[in-house]
Amino acid sequence: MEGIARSLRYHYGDDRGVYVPDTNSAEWTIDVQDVPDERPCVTGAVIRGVDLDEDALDSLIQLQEKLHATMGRKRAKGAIGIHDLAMLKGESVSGADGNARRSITYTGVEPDGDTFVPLDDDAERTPAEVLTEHPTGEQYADLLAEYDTFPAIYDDIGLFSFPPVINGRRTEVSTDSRELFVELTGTDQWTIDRMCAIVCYALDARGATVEDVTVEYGDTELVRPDFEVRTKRVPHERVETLLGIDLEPDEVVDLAERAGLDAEPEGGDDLTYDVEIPPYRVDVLHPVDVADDIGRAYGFNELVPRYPEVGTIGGRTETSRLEAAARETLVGLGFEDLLNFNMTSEADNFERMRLSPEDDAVGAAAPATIEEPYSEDFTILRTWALPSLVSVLENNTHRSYPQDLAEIGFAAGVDDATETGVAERRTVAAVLARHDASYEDAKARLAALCEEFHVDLETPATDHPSFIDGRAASVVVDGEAVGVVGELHPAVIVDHDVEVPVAGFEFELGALR
Amino acid sequence: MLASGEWRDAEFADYNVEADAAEYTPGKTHVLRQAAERVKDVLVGMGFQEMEGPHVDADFYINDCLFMPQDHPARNHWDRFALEQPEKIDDLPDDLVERVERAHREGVGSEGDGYHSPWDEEFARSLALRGHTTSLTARYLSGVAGADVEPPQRYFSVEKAYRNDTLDATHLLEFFQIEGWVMAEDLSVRDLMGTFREFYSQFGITDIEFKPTYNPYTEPSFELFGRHPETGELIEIGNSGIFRPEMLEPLGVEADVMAWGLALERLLMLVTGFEDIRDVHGTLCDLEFLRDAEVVY
Repeated sequence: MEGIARSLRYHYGDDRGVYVPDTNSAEWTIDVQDVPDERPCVTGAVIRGVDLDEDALDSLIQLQEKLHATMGRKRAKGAIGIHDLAMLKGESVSGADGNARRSITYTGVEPDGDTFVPLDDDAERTPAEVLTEHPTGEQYADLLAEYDTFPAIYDDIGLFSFPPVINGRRTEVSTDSRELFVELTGTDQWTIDRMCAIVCYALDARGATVEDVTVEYGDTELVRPDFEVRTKRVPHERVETLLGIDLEPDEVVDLAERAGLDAEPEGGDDLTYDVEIPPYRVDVLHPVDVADDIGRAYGFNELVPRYPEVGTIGGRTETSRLEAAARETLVGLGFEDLLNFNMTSEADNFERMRLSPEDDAVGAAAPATIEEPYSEDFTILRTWALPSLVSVLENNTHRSYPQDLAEIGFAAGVDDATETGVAERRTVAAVLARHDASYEDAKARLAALCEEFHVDLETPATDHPSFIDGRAASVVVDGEAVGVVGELHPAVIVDHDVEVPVAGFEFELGALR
Repeated sequence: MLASGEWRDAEFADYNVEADAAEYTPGKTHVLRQAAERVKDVLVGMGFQEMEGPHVDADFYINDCLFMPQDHPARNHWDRFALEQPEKIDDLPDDLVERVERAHREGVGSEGDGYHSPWDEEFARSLALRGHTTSLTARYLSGVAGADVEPPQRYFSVEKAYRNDTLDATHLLEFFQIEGWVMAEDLSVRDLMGTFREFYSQFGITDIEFKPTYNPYTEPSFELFGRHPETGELIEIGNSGIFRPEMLEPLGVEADVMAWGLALERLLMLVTGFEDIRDVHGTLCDLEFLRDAEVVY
C-alpha cells in the first residue's frame, strides 16, 4: 500500500504541495440495512467522464488487486467493487432539498437467499453456490466461513455485487464504460475510506470527475469519498538531526512541497512546521514520516556518509567464544565441521535412530512441533544433532572415507520450566565412519576434547537404543551425565544405507565450561 | 640409523618428489561458520557486543515490539513457522505489553497515529520460530535480556532465522541473519551510511548504494546494494533503517537507534562466488564440495 501511496505522490509531484480533487455533490446514496456483523462498513464514490482504453482498464484492475493484497489484507479488511454506473438502476426520488436522489443498498443475504450471474460466468447462482462452483468464489470462500448471512449489494433490479468475493456480470466495467460506481466494504471504515481515496485519485489523474456518495448508516450519514487533509506538527530540529545536515526553513518548505505536502513554519527558536498530508498518504503516521519525505525530496544519495563518533567496546558472548573454541578443537582432532538444519522430522530424529521421545536416553525428549510445516521432512525441532550427522553419512556414501564429521549446534525440547516453554541448548555431536571405526576411536577423541578444556571425563556403561549394547557409555563430565558415546547400532547404520561401522558421541557444549 | 651414525655412510635413494602424494582430508571449519567468524571479527572490531536469545519466541518479541501490525501480510500463517507444541508463552511483562499495544492502537506522541488494525494479546503470546533475529534486538532494547542499554551502544548477532519460503539454490528454510544496531543520542542517515560503508568495505564491497524503501519498523528505510567485486553486478546486500518512535518509545528507549539486517549466505556468495546454498547447509550437503571449499579469512 505504501508503494501505491508513494507512487501517487510522485505522480502529483509535478504539481507542488497538496492536491485535492474537487468533487461534485452527491446524487447517489448507499443505504446500509441489516448487514452482516462481521463486515459492517461501506464507502464509495461515483466517477464520471471516464475514458478507459485497454491499458487504462488493466491498470485500474491492477491497482484494485494491489490494494486488495495490501491494505485490504487479501480482501478480509477491505474489498473494492467497481461497476458500470449506466447498468445500475436506482429509483430517482426527490430529496428534502428538491434534488433527485438515487440509491443502492448494502445488506445481508441468506447464503441461498438470492441469485445473480457473477463475472466470468453465465449461470444464475446463489452466493453459496458461487463459493463452491465459481473459481473466484472458491478462492475467497474462507473469508466468509463464519458468516451467517453474506454481504450483498442491491439496486432496483436486484443483487449485483457479492463483496468481498465477486461482482455481478450485469455491471461489469468495460472500455465502453463512461461512468463508474465504486463501492468498498470492509471491517474498518478508516481503511476502506483510504482505499477509496486512492482509487479516486488514480481516476482523477486520468481526467475523470469524482462525485460524492452519501452513506446512510441508520441515524449517521457520511459523505464520501473522504478527502480530508491531515496536519502534523514537525520540529525543524528533527528533520536536521535525522538527515544530519543543516537546512534553512525555506528549503524545508520547498522540499515538503516537492514531496506533495504543504508546510507552514511556526515559531522562532523552537521552529516547527504544520505539515498538511493528502488523504492517500496512508503511510504517514508520525512526524518522522514527514522528515523521511523531506529526505527523499532532498535525495538521500546526496548525503555524505560519516562514521558515527560513538565510542563502544566490542565483544562476544561467553557461549559464542566457547562454541568457537570447541569447534577449533574438533577440527584439530580431524573432524569436518558441519552445519545442519534445526528443523527435522520425527522419523529422522527418533524412529530411524531406534529412539522414542519417552525413552530415558540422550536425545529423547518431547520435541517442539511446528504447526504448518513446509513438508514432512521439517515437522519438529531436533532434540539432538547425531541424527543429522547420520543423515549426512547417508547422503554421502558415494564420497571417500573416512568420514569423520562433527557439528556444534542447536537442539531443543519442550520444557515448561523455561520462559518460552522450549529448552534450547548447544550440543556437540561427532561421528567416525570408516572400515575400522570403534568405540575406542570415539572415546579417544572425546577424551582429547575434554582434556583440552580441563574437564574430567568418565564413561560408565549405559544402554542407548541407537548404540550397540555393551559398546555405549554415558558421557559424565565433572560428575554430571551430559551425553552418550558408543558404536552405532547396526540397524541404524543399515537403515541409513551406510556400509561401514560408525562410532560417535554427543554431549552438551556447556559441559566444557 | 640416526643414533648409530650409520647415516654418514648410507646411500639415500631418490624419490620422485613431483609425484602426487596420497590425498589427505583435513579437519575443517564449515565454510559458513568461517564466514560467520569473519563477520563477528569485523563487528567486534567496530565496537559491537554480541547478543544471544531464543530461536523459539513469542510473536510479541518477533513482531509486536517491532510495531508490525498484527494483520500485516508477513504475519500470516503461510509465512511464519508457528509452533503447535508448545503454543503460547506463559508470561509477558504486563507494562511492556500495555505500552506496545497502545503504540499499535494510538501511535506515540501528540502527533502520532496508530494502526487501524486489530491487536490481540493472545496472538502476541503465540510462539513461532523467529523470522528474523530482530527479536533479539527487541529483547535487548526493552531490557528483557538484562543488558545495559544506556546510550551509546552497539550490538550484533550472527544467528539463525527461519522463513517459510520455497526452497531453491539461494533460499533455505533456515538462514543466518547478520543483525546489528547502534544506539546514540543523535543518529542521522549519514551515520547509518557511514557505518555500512565501513562494514562492507571490510569485505571488499565498495560503492554501496542506498535505495529508500518501506519497512514497518524503520523510517527512513534503505535497501543496500553493493557491487560484486568480480562481476561488477549490483546486488542487494541488506536492509537498514532508523527504528521508528512507535517501536522505541514502548521499549523505553529515548535515544536514536539505527539497525540493519542481511543474510550471511548472501554475503558469502558475494565474496566467494559459490552458487547453491543446498550444497553447504543441511543434511543434503555434499562432503566433496565442503572439502574443496576455499578457506574464508
